[in-house]
Parts: sequence; C-alpha cells; structure tokens
Amino acid sequence: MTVQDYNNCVDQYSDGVYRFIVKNIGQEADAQDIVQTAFEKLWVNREKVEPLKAKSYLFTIAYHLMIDQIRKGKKESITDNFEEVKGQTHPNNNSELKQILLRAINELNPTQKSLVLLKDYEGYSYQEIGEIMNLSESQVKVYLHRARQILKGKLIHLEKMSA
Amino acid sequence: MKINIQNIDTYLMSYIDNELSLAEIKELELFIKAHPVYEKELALLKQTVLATDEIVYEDKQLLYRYSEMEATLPSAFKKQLYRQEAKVVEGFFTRTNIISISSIAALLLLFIGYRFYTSGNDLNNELISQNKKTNTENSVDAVIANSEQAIEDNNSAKLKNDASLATNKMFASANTSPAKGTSFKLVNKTSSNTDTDATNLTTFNSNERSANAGIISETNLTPNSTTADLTNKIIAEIEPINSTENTKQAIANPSTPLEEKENYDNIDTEDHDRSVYIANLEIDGDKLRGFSRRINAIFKRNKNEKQK
Repeated sequence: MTVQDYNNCVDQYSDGVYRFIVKNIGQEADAQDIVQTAFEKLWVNREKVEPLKAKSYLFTIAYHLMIDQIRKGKKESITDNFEEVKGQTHPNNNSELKQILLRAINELNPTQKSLVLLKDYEGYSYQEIGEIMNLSESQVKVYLHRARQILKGKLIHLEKMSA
Repeated sequence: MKINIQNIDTYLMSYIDNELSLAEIKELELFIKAHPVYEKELALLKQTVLATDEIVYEDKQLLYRYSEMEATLPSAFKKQLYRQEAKVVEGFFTRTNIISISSIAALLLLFIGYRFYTSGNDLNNELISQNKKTNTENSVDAVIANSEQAIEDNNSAKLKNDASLATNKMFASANTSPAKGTSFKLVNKTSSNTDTDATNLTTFNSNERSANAGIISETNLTPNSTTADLTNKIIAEIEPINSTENTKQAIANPSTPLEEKENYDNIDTEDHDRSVYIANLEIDGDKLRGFSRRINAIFKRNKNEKQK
C-alpha cells in the first residue's frame, strides 16, 4: 500500500469507521481516539495490507478497540450518548420514528448493535461482518434477525403507546 | 427453496438486509402479492433499518500521511545517533571474586606443597642411593689403588733386593769362595719371595716390609758375616709378611663380599630459630637482624662522614 492508497482509505473509510464507533459507544472523543488508532495501525502495517482489504481491516481494528473500550467500562449512558450524537446528525433525519429506533437500538446488546450498524450504515454482507466481528456467517444472520425482531417489537410497542 | 409460511420471516429479513438474489426477490414479491398480510410485516421490518447518517470525521487532516513521512535516514547516520548506556564498572574485589581467588590460591598452595614434599622424598632417596654407590666404588677403588701401589712398591723392593743381593754377591765373592754358593742360594730365596709377593698382590705394608728386608739385608751385611746369618735375617724379616695372608686372600678372591662403610650425616643441633615473639606476633629474627645491620650500617656511615 502506497501513501496515496493510504490517503484514499482515509477519504473513503474514516467517516464510516467514526460513525460506526460513535453510534456504538456514543462518545465522540473515544470514537476519535479509536479511529486514530485504527488508521495508525493501518499505516504501520501498510506493507502487509492490500488496498482492497483496507476497509475490512480498519473496521476490524476499530471494532476490537471499541470492545476493549466497552470492557473497560468507559462507556457512558445510552441516553446521553444519543443526545450527543444527535447534534451531529443532519436535520432531515430528525424524525420521531428515527429517535424511537435509535433508542431501541441502544437497548440491544453490543454485538446486536454492532451487527445492525455494520449492516445498515456500512452495508457489509453477512460474511464481511463475520470477518470483522469474528463470527460465522450463519451466526451473523441469526443474531441480526433476532436484533430486527427486537427492534420491530419495540416499534410496534411504541406505536401502540403513541396511539 | 420455495417460500412458504414457515420460512417467510427469514426471507423478509434477508430481503431488507439485501442478502437475496434477484430470483429470490422476484419469488418473494410474487409470494407477498399472493399473501398481502406479509406486506405490512415487510413495511414494519423496513422501519428497523437505520437510515445512513451524514456523520463525518472532521479531523481527517490528522490522518493523512505524506511522502515526506516515509523519508528515512541512512543507517550510517542513524548509527551516529545511537547512544549506549554507561557501563557500571564493578570493583575487582567483589565478594565473589575474593572467594574465587582465595580458593584458587589455596588449591595452588596445596598443589605446590604436595609437589615439594614428593620431590624432597625423591631427592633424599636419590642421595642415599648415590651415597651407597659411591661408597662401594670408593672402597673397591681404594683396594685397587692399594694393590696397584703395592705392585709398584714390590717392583721397587725387588729392584732394591736385587741391588742388595748384587752387593752381597760382590762382598761374598770378595771374601770367600765357598760363601759364593750360599750367597747364590740367598739370591734365589729372596727372589722367590719377592716373586710370590708380586703374584699375591701384597699390601703396602708387606711390600714395605719386604723392601725393608732388602734394605736391612743390605745394611746388615758385612763382608765378614756368613751367608747363613744373612739367610736367617732375611727370613726373619720376611716371616711377618705371611701374617698378612688374610688380606692377600681377600684381594685374591673378589667373590668375598666387602664390608660396606656406613655413612652418617651430622645432625645440626644448633637452634636456628631466630624468631622474636612479641605477644601473639612472631617476627622473623633473620630479617630483624638484617634490619638491625642496615641501621647499624647507616649509623656507622654517618659516624664516618662526621669524622671526615
């Protein structure tokens, strides 16, 4: 990987990595640190990493850094996270449904949350998600379907409550 | 795999995750058209999909890298920049060093002492054997030398006897003619005696005696004395020579063992210990004597210089 390839990776994947992390942990500062660390590792190992696999490499590194962060107990409360993230989102996504959905996602366990974020935000396939999160393709499919059922149930419940 | 009521949920989930093939999508759409109940279900599941947020990472400039960043210094220049930690020099006389050195020294001393002890024993044995050998050689040499000396003396005595006999002859011929025959006999007798002496390797004393006999016979002979007297005198002188028969036999028979002369070393009984004891301290007296000599020499020198 050349310097140009690396800088292209920064342009193409830094936003996605940051979004994935900040949506998971809700802390901008921690998310930025994780992004910095992930790209630093990519730079150090640039001779070993092929440009086509750079995105998967970055998300894998970022995911594991995030898990470490969560395990350290530095994660803050879900509600506060979303209010912080909310400020950075565009106004056109500010619908009530989205807020309900975001709250529902934050109630998922970290694995399910990461699965939904990687699938919906980054559009990874089951196989790619499995590579990033060290899961099999069938595990990704099952866990993601369970997460969707939970979210659907919450949405139905909230609609009933609002109605 | 055909879509049915049992697996419709899986197909719906895979549909919203974009994991279905085109054929499966068409099949699902046909199934939903045939079963409108699942259209609402699909709409609900679509609501669980998060819309992409326009969240951007603002500090991209921090992540960029430039080709200058890849510039590296030549290894030779890098070596100039290396620094080494100052080595801590430990003293030589550490505890471990002292122990090891003292143990080595003790072993060396033991070895040297053992070598010295064994070499001293060997030297003593060698000296003893050498002494024995030289003693034997000396005794044999002395006997041989004595015998040689005796032979020489015998010869000289014989010559003297011959000379005396010749004188006697002269005297005898001058005095009486019958005495001439007797004197001839005497010559024969003395010559036979001296011959016997020569063959039997007489000792120095016996030779001396025989020589003396010749001389005595020469001195005692007077022109008036008879040959019988002369004969008796010479026999009387020669008789003691036979008493040394044992010595002759000893020399004639070398198989007879000679007595070994034993040597005894003198033991030095003088006390050479010049050590001076002051409390528990032992001072070498010899060194102290040397020291006192030096001091005396210095004072002497000062005295001489003053006198000058």
